[in-house]
Amino acid sequence: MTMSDGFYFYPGCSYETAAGYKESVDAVCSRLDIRLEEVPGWNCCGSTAGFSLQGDYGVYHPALVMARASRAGAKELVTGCNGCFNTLRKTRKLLLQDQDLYARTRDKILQEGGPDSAPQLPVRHLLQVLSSRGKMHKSPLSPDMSGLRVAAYYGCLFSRPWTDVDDPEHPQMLDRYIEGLGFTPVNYSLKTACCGAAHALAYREQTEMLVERIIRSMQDKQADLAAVICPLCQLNLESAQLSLGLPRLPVLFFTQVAGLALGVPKKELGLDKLLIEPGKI
Amino acid sequence: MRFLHSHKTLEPEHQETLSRSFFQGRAGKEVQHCIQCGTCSGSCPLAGEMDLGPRRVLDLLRDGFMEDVLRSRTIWLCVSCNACLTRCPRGIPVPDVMYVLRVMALEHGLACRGYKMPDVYQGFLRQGEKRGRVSESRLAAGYGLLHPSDMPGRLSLALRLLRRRRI
Repeated sequence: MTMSDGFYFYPGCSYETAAGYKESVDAVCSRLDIRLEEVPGWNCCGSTAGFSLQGDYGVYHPALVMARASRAGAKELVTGCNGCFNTLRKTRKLLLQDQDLYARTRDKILQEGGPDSAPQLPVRHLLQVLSSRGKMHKSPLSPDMSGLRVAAYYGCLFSRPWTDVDDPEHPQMLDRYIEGLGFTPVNYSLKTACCGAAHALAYREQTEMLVERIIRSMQDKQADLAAVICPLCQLNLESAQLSLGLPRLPVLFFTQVAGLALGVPKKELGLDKLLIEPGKI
Repeated sequence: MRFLHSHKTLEPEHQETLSRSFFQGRAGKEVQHCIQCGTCSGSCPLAGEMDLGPRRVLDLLRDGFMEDVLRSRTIWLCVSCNACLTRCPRGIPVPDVMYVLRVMALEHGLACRGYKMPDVYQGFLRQGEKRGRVSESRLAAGYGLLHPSDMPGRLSLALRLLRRRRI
């Protein structure tokens, strides 16, 4: 997958500061010969803040992202953040089903000096891209890792309506990916329960309660670590464990888990940035 | 029925205007299909923290009690996890209903006092518009200036993130 295939990467605002996400994505993609070219001059997608303060006109910022990518020659967008993923796919759907909203959004982009190109594109999650190359990951796990029980955590926005990429309540993509890498996926019930998202900033007690339920549910099924696919999920799942004083469960990005399976040296995976060190691996 | 907000300030005509404008929108039209089964409130991770909960919001909307809904904490507590939308037998986009109500509450100065999410969202969008992108640490710092009492509990996390070069 390269730029010439029309794939462009939309990192989103949380990507750079996420605990070893960028490091591990770079390491894994280079080993799988995937080149991720960033959307030139990308902007914040507005996330739920956009919709909360502007209703359906919250599509403006994500539409601008897609217009900029189209201008650069993108045929498809790839992102590694559930928030961006849902926002972009929702925007695309809303624009395709509402001509008036489409016209207004396009006009506003032009008025603000944005590019005169289609503000909608197909959007994929990085997990979909790596899953589709599952076979290329094949490498025997070292004996100390092969028994590891990994809890796949999808968070709330990956498979819910607007994205329609997997079963909304019982998604399987990450579980199968983890299994393909040689780890043991853990069957627990809160795979798509909400981590509290941005509410963690203002309503910490309420959202920590949500994380506690999720972490305990993983631990009840003897998980050794959690694999996540979104920077905000990672931060919330990790930080709440520390402030609540829960028995600790490391929370890794799925690309860090993939890197371990591919034999990437741990230093290259940014594991030292995790707040909860993965002692067992 | 006991209402949470005894100090009404909106004239009935004003409520009717708001109600009409709500039901003309995309989300409003969908609310007409609600069968009050309560699956939304049963699925909501934060229903226990809400004053009304989503089912009651939809009910009050159809009965025209716009002010009670617009002043509620419920419309701001929704985290947009879409669990309600996933399970709603009528496919009502409940989070989108909350968004429309948020916009309306802010426009008419009815957003419930002391509730902090508007500050988070406004800080987020302002930064996005000014800088194109949003930095979480700058967002947290801006929020901290508005709500200093929330900050002591956050300090240890900030230090931990700093130590691991995540800020």
